Amino acid sequence: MLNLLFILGILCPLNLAEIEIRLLDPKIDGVLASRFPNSFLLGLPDCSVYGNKSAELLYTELPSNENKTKSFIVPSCSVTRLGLLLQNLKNGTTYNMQYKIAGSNDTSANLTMATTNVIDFQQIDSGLPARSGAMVVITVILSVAMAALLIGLIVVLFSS
Amino acid sequence: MGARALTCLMCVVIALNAIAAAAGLALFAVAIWVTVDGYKLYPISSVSGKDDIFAAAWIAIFTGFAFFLTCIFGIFAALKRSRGFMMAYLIIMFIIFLFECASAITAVTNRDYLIGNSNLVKKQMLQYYADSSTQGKQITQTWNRVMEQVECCGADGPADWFQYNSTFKQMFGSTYIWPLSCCKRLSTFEVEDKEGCMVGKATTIFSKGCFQYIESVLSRYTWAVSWYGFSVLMLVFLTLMIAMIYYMQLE
Repeated sequence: MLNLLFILGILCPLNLAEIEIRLLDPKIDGVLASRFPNSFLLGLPDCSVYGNKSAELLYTELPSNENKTKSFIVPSCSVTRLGLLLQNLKNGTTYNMQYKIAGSNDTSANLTMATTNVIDFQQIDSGLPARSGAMVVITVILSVAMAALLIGLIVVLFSS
Repeated sequence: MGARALTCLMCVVIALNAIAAAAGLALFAVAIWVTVDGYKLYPISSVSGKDDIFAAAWIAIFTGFAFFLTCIFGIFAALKRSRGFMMAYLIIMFIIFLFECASAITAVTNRDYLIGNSNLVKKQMLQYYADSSTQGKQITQTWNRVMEQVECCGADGPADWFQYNSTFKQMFGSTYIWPLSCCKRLSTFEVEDKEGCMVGKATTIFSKGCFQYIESVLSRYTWAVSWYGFSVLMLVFLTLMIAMIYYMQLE
């Protein structure tokens, strides 16, 4: 019995609570969006466990495998910070991201996400969308009225 | 035609001319209101080169006042029972009628180009906001004022700023995703929560688009010039038809 418990204890370590890494969700976290062309908005590590500790976000650009690090201090629970904005990324590229607490082996899982693409504003078609009903009505009725008046004037001029 | 019937017709002509004079004066006043542009959205139409709503309003100022003067002359001509004066009145009114038709048609057609959908306004915003040219400065000032006063962001929403490439993104994209004019402010004009607004916290940023407001203002100007101009023209058409009949009955 005791051996079984020991084996179970080895198989299930207490720090199964690894750092959570996720993009913020517009519906749950009350943000506009979390995937931008040049940045990601990530949820911060748990403030109750890692508050006031310095941490790093390791991110790798996938095609070229360029490694970069962003150091930050996990805010304590008294400060309400929404998330971590990772900026200066390239649009339309995939990144691998991972949290790591400085000075310990606590890491998060790998998060693979791609930044969105931008549409060039010159591609927006700003031509005439459609003719509205008001335009057709006013033009037709006024043209008819102009013609009728002209005919009336000519009739009046030549009958006098 | 009997003398009594002719006098009756003369009274009708005078009455219609009096109403048309008042309507012309009101057209003059409404067209001045449009030209003055109290909502200060003129840069949006001038930078795009499609400012014919305001050109039509200028024409309506002149035709409205001309209708007023000519209708008073028409009352005088009808009272005098003079053929010469009535013919002059008819020809002058016809010319003014043509110009006012042009104004009404121009205003309503131009409105379709400018605000039929949000594409033109959005493209202009993305191209000229934060640009340092004169047009860029005008557009930036106009959009800042609209976004702050109407409490909106972008043409269809804040997503316009990050779905599309823009001059603003080229200049400030490394720090700001959208302009700070999109952020909610306190009554002291300070941004309520700058950090929250920069990351997009929904309670600190305006999430509706400004196109609806811009469309409603420019539509209001257009209806003032074109639909009211149209109704004045219908009244004048009736007046001229009856004046022509009166002219034919004069000897």
